[in-house]
Amino acid sequence: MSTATAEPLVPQVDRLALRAQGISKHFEGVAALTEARLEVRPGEIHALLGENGAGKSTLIKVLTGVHQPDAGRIETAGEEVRFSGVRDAHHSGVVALYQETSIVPTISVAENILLGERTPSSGGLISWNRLYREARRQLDRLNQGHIPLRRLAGRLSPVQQTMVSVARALAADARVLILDEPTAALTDTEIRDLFTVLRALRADGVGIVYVSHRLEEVFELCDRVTIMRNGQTIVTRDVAEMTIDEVISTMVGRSAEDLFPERGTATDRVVLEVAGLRGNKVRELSFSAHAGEVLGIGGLAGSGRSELMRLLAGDQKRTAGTISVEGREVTGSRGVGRALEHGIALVPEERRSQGVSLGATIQDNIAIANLARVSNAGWVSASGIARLAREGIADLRIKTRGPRQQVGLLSGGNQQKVVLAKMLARNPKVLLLDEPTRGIDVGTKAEIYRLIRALAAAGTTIIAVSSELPELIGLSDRILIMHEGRVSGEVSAADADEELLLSYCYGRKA
Amino acid sequence: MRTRLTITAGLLATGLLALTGCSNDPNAAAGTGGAGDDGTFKVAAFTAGYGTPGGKLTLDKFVEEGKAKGWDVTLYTSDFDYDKINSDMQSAITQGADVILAGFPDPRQIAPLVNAAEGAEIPIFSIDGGVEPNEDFVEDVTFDQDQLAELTVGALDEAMGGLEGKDVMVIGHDPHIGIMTRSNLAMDMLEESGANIAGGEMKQALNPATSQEEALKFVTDFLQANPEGLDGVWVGWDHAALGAAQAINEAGRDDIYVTGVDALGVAVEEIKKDGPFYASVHQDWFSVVDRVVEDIEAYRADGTLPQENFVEVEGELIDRGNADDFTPSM
Amino acid sequence: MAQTTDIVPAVEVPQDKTQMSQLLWQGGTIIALVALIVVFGVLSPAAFLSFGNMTNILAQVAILTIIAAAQTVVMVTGHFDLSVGTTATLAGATASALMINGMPVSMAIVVGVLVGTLVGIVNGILVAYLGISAIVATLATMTTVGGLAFIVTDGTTLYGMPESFNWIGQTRLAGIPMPVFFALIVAAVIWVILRYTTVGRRWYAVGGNSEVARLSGVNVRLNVLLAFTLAGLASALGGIILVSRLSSASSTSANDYMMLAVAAAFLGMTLLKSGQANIGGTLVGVGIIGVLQNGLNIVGVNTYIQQVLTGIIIIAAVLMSSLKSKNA
Repeated sequence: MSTATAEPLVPQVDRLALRAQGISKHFEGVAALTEARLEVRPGEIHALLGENGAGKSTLIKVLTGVHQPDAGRIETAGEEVRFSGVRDAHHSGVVALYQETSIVPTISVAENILLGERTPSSGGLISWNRLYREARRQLDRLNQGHIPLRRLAGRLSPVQQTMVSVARALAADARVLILDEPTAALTDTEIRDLFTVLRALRADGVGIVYVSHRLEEVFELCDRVTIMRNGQTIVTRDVAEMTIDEVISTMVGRSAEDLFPERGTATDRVVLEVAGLRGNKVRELSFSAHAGEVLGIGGLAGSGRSELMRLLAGDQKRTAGTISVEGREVTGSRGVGRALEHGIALVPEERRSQGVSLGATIQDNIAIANLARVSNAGWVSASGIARLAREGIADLRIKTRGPRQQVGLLSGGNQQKVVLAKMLARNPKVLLLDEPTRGIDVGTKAEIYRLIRALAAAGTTIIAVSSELPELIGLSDRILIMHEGRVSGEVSAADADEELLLSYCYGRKA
Repeated sequence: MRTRLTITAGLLATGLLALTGCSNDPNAAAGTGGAGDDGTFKVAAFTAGYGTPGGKLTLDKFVEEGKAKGWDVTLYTSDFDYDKINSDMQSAITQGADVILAGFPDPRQIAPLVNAAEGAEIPIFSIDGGVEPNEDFVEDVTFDQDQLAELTVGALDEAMGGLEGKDVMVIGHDPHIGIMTRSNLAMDMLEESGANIAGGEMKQALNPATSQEEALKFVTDFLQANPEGLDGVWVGWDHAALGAAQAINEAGRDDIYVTGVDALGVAVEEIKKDGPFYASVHQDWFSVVDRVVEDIEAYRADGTLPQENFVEVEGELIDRGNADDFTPSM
Repeated sequence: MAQTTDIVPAVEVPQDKTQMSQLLWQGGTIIALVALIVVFGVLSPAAFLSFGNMTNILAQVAILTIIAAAQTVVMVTGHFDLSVGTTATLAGATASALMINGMPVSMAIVVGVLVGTLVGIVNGILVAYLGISAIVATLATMTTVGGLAFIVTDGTTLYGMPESFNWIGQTRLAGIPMPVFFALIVAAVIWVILRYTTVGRRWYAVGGNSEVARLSGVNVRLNVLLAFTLAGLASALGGIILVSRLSSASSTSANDYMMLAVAAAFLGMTLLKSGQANIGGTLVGVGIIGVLQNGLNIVGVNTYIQQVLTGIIIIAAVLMSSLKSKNA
C-alpha cells in the first residue's frame, strides 16, 4: 500500500492550499486521531473517506478550529497556523459546511451570505444596497443568480441552502472548503447542480474537501482521495488510479467481498396486497409482495416513495384504496398501531429523529414498540424488557456494553440495528425499510444486507426504499420504480441495470 | 403551524390595543368640577388591592353607596399591577371622569395618574392612601397607624405580663405601606419597652396571599431553633398572624401570644378560643367609606373640597373581652 | 500493517475510565442536598438535626412534593404545566366553598379533585389535540384558573370548614404529620405508574422523542392528554391538603408552588443520564428546596436573601450536571 510521503509532487503545485501533518488528538485518553495527514491542493476536489468512527469528523474539526490537536502541524498556503477557534480558521480561509447548521433560516438569503462581520454597514446601520449588491455578486459567481436575495433562507430548497452557504464561504474568501455529506438531502438533479458549482470553484483555484458515503459520487467528482481508518490516514491517491472495490477494502481494512448476499428466497405466496392506494403524493398504486421477497422501491426524491412507506405503515392518511396482509384488510385510514397489529412494521428514513430515541437506553427503545410482549395487564416486566433487548443485541450483533447503554452513544450502524431489533421483535410479516443503510459505513452495510436477506429467507416480506440504485439492484428480488405517485416501471432485479432504472425514474414508461 | 400564527397575530393585536390605550392624551378632555356635560356625575374608582379581602369589601361598598347617590361609578382593579391602573385611569380621565377615588393606593406608584388628574383638574379622594398628608389627594381618610401599633403592642404587653426582657418576633411586609409603617412603629415601641426582637430583625413575608403558610414556617422553624426564645409574635395583618398562631398550637405551647390587625372573621374565631391568638384590631372601613362618600357628594353639589386633606381615624381592639360581641365584616 | 488490524469499537473504553467523574457530576444534585444538610448541621446542630426538625421539614415539603410530582408527570412527556399552582388553589377553594355551604366533606373533596382533573383534561386537549405549545396553553389556563379561584373565594379567604376536614392536614400518625403520608402515597403511586406500567413507559418514550414513539405505534396525543390529566388530578390533591393544613382557603393559596415544583423537577432531571424528569430526582429537588428554606430560617437568614440563595443553589446544581454532559 502506498504512503503519502511518497506522493509525487506535481511541479506547478508548489504551495498546498492546506497541509496537515502528524495530527493527533485524544479524548479522555482514547486516541481519536493518530498522526493523521491531509494535503489539499488549490483547485482540486479531494475526497475524504472512511467508515464512521475512522476519524474524519475529528480531523475536520481540528482543521476548522473546533478542536485543538494534541500534536501536529497545520499549514495554509505554506504558512504554519494555529487555530484556537472557528474564527481563526475562517480568517485563514478554511471553512466547513455542515448540512443542518450552515444557514440561519429566519433571515434573508443576502444576510446569510454576508453574515456577521462581513455585513456591510456604515455608522452601525446596515447598508442594504451594498449588502444586496455584494450578495448578488457572490451568487452570480456560482451561477445561482436565480436565488431570490430577499427570501428567508429557511424557505429555500435544500440545494439552494447549500448554495447559499457556499456563497457565504466564498464571500469570506475561503481557499479551502470542507463539505460534509452535502448531498444527503438532495435530489439527483440538485446533486448535478451542486457538482457543476463545485467544478467551477475548482477551476477558480479553491481546494475542496469532500466527505461522503456515496462512492459513486466520489468517483464522478473527485480528483484525489484520502482514506482514513482507526484515526490514521491510510492512503492518499488519485481517484483515477483506484477502483471502487479497492476503496472499500481500504476503508474496511479487509477485502470487500460481494456486498450483497445471494438472492432466491422469494416464494409465490402473496402476503401484502395493495390496491388503488391514494394519499399524499401517492396517486394510484396497486401491487403485491410475496413471502420471502425483497421488493425494492426506487424513484427520485418527491416521487412518493417515502410517502408510500408512510401510508403502508399507517403514519399518513389513506384517502382511497385497500391494504391487506395475508388477506386481512387493514381497517381505518391511518394509525401506526393498527398497521403494526396487522404485521406491518416500518424502519423509518431518518434514523436519529424517527428511528431511535437517542437519550434512551437500548432496552427502552426496543420495548416501546413491544409493550404488549413485555407487560401483563398494563404492568411492565423489567426482566422482560431486558431479555427482549438481549435477544435483539445477540441476534443483530449490536456492539454495545449491554441493554442499558444509551443509544446515542452507539455508532450509526448499531443505532440502525436497534431500530431493526425493535421492529423485528414484533415478528412482522411485512417489514418496510426506508433507506436502510443511509449514513452507515460500508462494513455495517454489508452486515445489514445479509440480515435483510436472512429475514426474507425466513419468510418475511421486505419492502425497501433506496435512493442508491446499486443498492436497490443488489438487494432486491424485484424493483418497482415510482414517478409522480405512480409506478412507472417494474423489473426483476436480475435484469435491471442503472440506466434502465434511471429512465423509469424520469417517467419513461416501459 | 397555523395555530401558532393565529396566536402570534392575536398577541400582536392585543399589544397594539394596549399601546393605543396608553397613548391617549391625558389633557384631551378636562373636567371642570361638579357634574359633567351630560349631567351625570362620573366617579372613576380604582384599587390595586382588589385581591385582598379588605380591598374588595371596601371598594364594593363604595360602589354601592355611590350608585345609591346616583353617581356613575366605574371601578378599575388590578392585582398590585400599577402599570395597568395608571393606564386605565388615564383613559378614564380622558373619557371625562369628574372625581377619582383611590382605594388603598400606593402613593409611590401612582404619579402618572396623579399628573393626568392634575392636568384635567380632577380631584382625587383617597381611602388609606399612605401614612402622612399628601398633596396629591384633596382628602385621604386612613387609620392612624400609630394607634394601631399602640393597641396591638399594648395587647401583647397585657398577654405576656409586661414587655421588659420578653422575646417578640415581628412579622411584616414592607411592600405594603400601611403594614410597613405600623410594623416599624410596633418594633420601636417593643424595643423602647425593653423587649428583644426575636431573630434580631423583622421577618418579611414575601407574598401577602400566601403569608399564612410563610408565617407558619417562620414560627415553626424559629421555635425549633430557639424553644425558649419566644414569648410573643406581633404580626402586621391577620392572615399571617393565623399562621403564627397555628405554629404555636402545633408546637404544643400555651405561653406564647400572637396579635394581628384586620379582625378577619377567622381571626376573631381564633381569639374566642382563648388560644395563642390574643388580639386583633378592627378597622371600620365602612365608616371610612361613608365619610368619603359624603365629602364627594359635597363636592358634587357645589364644588366644596374637604377642609383637611389628611384624616386619621382610630381602630378598635378586638380581644377575648369583646370578641363574642363583635360581628366581623370580613 | 494497518490492513490486518481489526476494528476496535472506540466507544467502549472511555466509559470505564470516566465512570468516577461521571458519577460525581451525575450525582451533583444529591451532593448538593448532602452538602446543605452538612452545612446547616454544623451551623446549628442541636436545632437542625433534631428528629423534631426532620419531621418538621417533611411536613413543610409535603404539599410541594405532591405538586412537583404532578409537574414531573407532564415533564416526562416533554411538556410543561404552568397551571399546577392555580389548579391546586382552585381545587382547594372549590372543596372548601362546598363544605362551608354544607356539602359532606368527602363529596366536596371528590368535586375538588374532579375540578383539578378537568383542568388537566383541558390542558391536555389544548396541547395534544389542538397543537398549542404547552407553555402558551398552560400559561393561559393558569391565568384563567387563577381567575376562577378568585371567583370561587370571592377574593377573600374562606374558612369555617368542618372539623372533620382538619384530619387530612393537621393530625399526626406516630408523630408524623398526615400530609407527609399523603405526599409519600402520591409520590409512590406516580413512581410506580412511571416505572412499572405501560402507560409510564409510553410517557417516557413520548418525552424522549415523540416521532419515534409515534412510529413505534404509540398514540402520542392520547398519552399526552393522560399525563396532563394525571397532573391536574395530583395538583388538586395537593391543593385540598394545603387548605386542610391551613384551615383556610385564600384566592391564591397554592399559586407559588408552581415555580418551586418546576425547579424541583428540573433539579431532578439532572440525576438521569438521559436528562428526563423522574420522581426520585424530583424528591431530591424537593429536599433541596425544603432543607434550604428550613435551614435558612433556623440559622436566621432574612427571607429576601433566602429567595436569592434558592435561585442560586438551583442554578449551581443544574450547572454542575450540565457540565457533566459536556464532559461526557
